[in-house]
Amino acid sequence: MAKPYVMPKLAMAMNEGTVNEWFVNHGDKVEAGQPLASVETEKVAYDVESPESGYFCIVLPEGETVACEELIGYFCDTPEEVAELITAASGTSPTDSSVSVGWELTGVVTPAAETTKVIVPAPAHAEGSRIIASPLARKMAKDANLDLRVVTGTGTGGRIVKRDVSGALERGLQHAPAQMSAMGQVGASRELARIPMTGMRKTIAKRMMQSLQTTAQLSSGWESDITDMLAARSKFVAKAEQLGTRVSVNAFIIKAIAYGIKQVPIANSCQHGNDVVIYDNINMGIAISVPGATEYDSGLMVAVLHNVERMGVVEIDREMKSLINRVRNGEATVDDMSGSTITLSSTAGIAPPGMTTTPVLNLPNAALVGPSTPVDKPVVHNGEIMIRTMMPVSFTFDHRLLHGEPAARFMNAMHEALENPELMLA
Amino acid sequence: MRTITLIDAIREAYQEEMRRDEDVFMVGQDIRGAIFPHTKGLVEEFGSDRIVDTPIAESGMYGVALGAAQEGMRPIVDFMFGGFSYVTFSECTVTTGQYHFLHGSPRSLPIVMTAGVGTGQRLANDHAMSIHGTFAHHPGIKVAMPSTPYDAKGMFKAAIRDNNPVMIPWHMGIMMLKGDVPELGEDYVVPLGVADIKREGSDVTVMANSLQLQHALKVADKLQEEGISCEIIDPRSFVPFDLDTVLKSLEKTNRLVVVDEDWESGSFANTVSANVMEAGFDLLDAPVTRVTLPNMPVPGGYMEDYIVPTPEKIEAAIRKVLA
Repeated sequence: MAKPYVMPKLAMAMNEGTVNEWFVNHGDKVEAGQPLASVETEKVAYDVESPESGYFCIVLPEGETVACEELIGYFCDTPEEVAELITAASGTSPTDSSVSVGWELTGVVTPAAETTKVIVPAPAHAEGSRIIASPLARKMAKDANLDLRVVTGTGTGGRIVKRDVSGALERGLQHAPAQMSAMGQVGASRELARIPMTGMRKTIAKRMMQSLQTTAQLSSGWESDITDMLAARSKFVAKAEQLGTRVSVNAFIIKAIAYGIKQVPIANSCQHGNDVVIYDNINMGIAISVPGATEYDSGLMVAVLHNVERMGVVEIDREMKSLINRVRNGEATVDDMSGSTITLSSTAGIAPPGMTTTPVLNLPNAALVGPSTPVDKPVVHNGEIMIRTMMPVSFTFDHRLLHGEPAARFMNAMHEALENPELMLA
Repeated sequence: MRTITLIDAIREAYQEEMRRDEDVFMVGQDIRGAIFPHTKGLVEEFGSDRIVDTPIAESGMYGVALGAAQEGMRPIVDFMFGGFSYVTFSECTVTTGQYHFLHGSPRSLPIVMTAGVGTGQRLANDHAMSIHGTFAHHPGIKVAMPSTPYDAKGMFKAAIRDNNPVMIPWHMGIMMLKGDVPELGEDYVVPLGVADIKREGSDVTVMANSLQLQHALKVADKLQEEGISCEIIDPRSFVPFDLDTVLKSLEKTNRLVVVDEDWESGSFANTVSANVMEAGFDLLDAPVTRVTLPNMPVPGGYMEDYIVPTPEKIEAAIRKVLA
């Protein structure tokens, strides 16, 4: 009897998963513990190991997303059983068992349900192939600007019916092709690209809205003279070879934040339920820009550098660079992506010199530090007008968790550390 | 309200309309003897001038009605079994239906044609066939068929008062079906051309009439236990047909099963299917599905059971459109 395999819940916060890639083909013999699939959640891609041994039958096509606990495959006792499942689903004998058949469920299947009756066929819609859809489904898709090629049909013979279109719209599928007919028309808008509000884009949108709608956040800004800090840094840079890293300005900024937190611990806090939890250790959330769905957009992830209060600038720098590499290569672990107590979001190098920002809080953190591009300015230093390097820094904080007085004290402490790098040794 | 049978409801309609209007009279075979009880006792009340028995000669019988109607009378013609109306087919379809158009006549032909129709008695061919689809095919004739005693009385009264020719057969399979009708003396009509929702539902629309309506209601009860909600529409009239009620229902259910006790080929079910496709294409989430008789003669005896629409066939069709 075929044993259903459902979308595994890989983290507490995981609600749905996407099978990026099956490492096995239809009918392949798999052993327990063998890598089975690459599953992507809102944040991270995991390689999932097979929990069972048997002949594997793929139900969920690559690239499709389903909720946790929904059926995505079967472990069969024999290759014949895999073939039977395919036949039952498609109504025809498989000519090539390595070809992945599109499937869809008509009902919720629990792991205990030992039945194959719930599967009906759903042909994958290749470019240019005829799409079988009910008139109602076509009209609904047209009204919603939904491309039926991305919808899997669950009606008789794989027909796309009303429930499939409603389901697709609920899941946020859109992917309508660009309207080429608008080309050249005066006043018409011409579509360059269309970015689906799904996956990371959807998560970012949701979290940003949540942040702005559920907190009393505000941003303040100031300038710190980082001339001395840069001079200190240049000594580290000169020894880059021995230290194994070219220590970045960000490593010093993180040290300055750590100094500020030591003076004003409530800046390192989060809201959990009805409590403000102030942390002893500092887990530095670092906003990282990652490639987006198209060449026109970019993604945003907050990776977490744990226990920075125990590290010196060299270790911070090394660990930070290794973390950023893991994120950009899609190798980040759950720990890499969770547990921040305060956030660093830098626009230095991208923003015009001297620009201050109003960054949005990364929930549930109470505070976020946003340094930007430094600028050389004439300033009064030791009673004389001199050219110094001034760095604009923004600080966003949730006024419900810490009000202006501790926030200003934190900013001032951090400012002192930035201007007097020796303090970072404290 | 009283509870009476469908066949008694038809008789009450004849009686009340013949009392109401002296021009109404009845012509048919053995209607004085009342082979079917809808004419029982009529000759005693209205006399042999108004309850006219004829030999087995349908053309002559219908000729009496046609001529009388041209002279302003309001005849009711009883063919006893619907299949025998075809013996005088040209007169009662082409001549009657097109009379007004062909002759530019200011005179209407207020003829009511009726007959027992349908399967279930295992009587075979002429005695078991349906005729509503064939008559509905011909222009100029209203066609209707009741499904309940209430509708039967109200629709026969409406047919008799209508100035157009009306074919209104009744189904022998439900002649003893009991139902509530208003007290005697309480005058009411059920207008022709208005469909009736016999059961409200949300998942699938089933159109059925007469005996098939009873089947459909039974199936709806059964499926309700599974959570499948059927909306059952009785068209009551085929001409004029109340398409709006069907389309309105489809806005809710998006699925239609048409049960029609007639041959599949050229049936009224086909007309409905085509109408819905033209006027309600974007409402459909599944193909309109028909439950009809295969295109072969209705056999006699138990063989009839194999070709008639049954609750099982209706249930299968409903499950198919819901798949």
